[in-house]
Amino acid sequence: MKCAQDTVIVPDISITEVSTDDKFDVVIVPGGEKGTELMEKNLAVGNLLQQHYENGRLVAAICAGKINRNDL
Amino acid sequence: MTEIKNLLLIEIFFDENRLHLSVDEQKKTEGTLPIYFNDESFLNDGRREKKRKCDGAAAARVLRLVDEMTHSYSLYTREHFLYSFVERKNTMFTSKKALLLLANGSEESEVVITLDVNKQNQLNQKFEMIYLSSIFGNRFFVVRELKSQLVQSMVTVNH
Repeated sequence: MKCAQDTVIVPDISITEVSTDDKFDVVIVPGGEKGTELMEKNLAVGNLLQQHYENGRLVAAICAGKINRNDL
Repeated sequence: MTEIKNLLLIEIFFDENRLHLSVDEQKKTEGTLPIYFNDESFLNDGRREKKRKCDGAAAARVLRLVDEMTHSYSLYTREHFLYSFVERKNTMFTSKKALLLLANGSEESEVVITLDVNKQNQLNQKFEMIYLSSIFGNRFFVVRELKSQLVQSMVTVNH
């Protein structure tokens, strides 16, 4: 995966491998317009953030990352 | 290109035109610096470029502050928790399990610093990518820790 400044990061897992039963204390969404647009279009991301938030857990968005779920 | 092996998460938030940086569990907020804007104007208009320039100036001051705090910071990274501040009450939040979402084009400079956290002497030299950040609504937070200890999973969303 190639980030905005060309840093290559190998993720541990795919979003499709995250179970809805997984409970995180915080989910962090970084900025970067292109990355944010990709996440915005991804239903699994939306569901994850929504569910996480509704369960009263912390959702953290940085910079443009917050446009992912401006309705939260 | 840089391949990241160890990740160090750093977050800085700004609130009411003040920049905050978390470094110490006891003091909670070690530094407060003035900045020139708030996050309301970030997207959608011509002020964006101006804001970015301001970001750089503020970030430079943060770098100096972080430099002064390196000792505290290196101690801090030994803790196996992720510390956050929630809302404006500066309530301490401790997380043992975090999820960092990344996609192609994500701004890595906001969440990662490439360094070997096992080599303490690198901490003085590698704070090169520290940016302002904000949280939607009235939630603000500060994050810092080792990926290996804290962020359970980095997730790609590119499909």
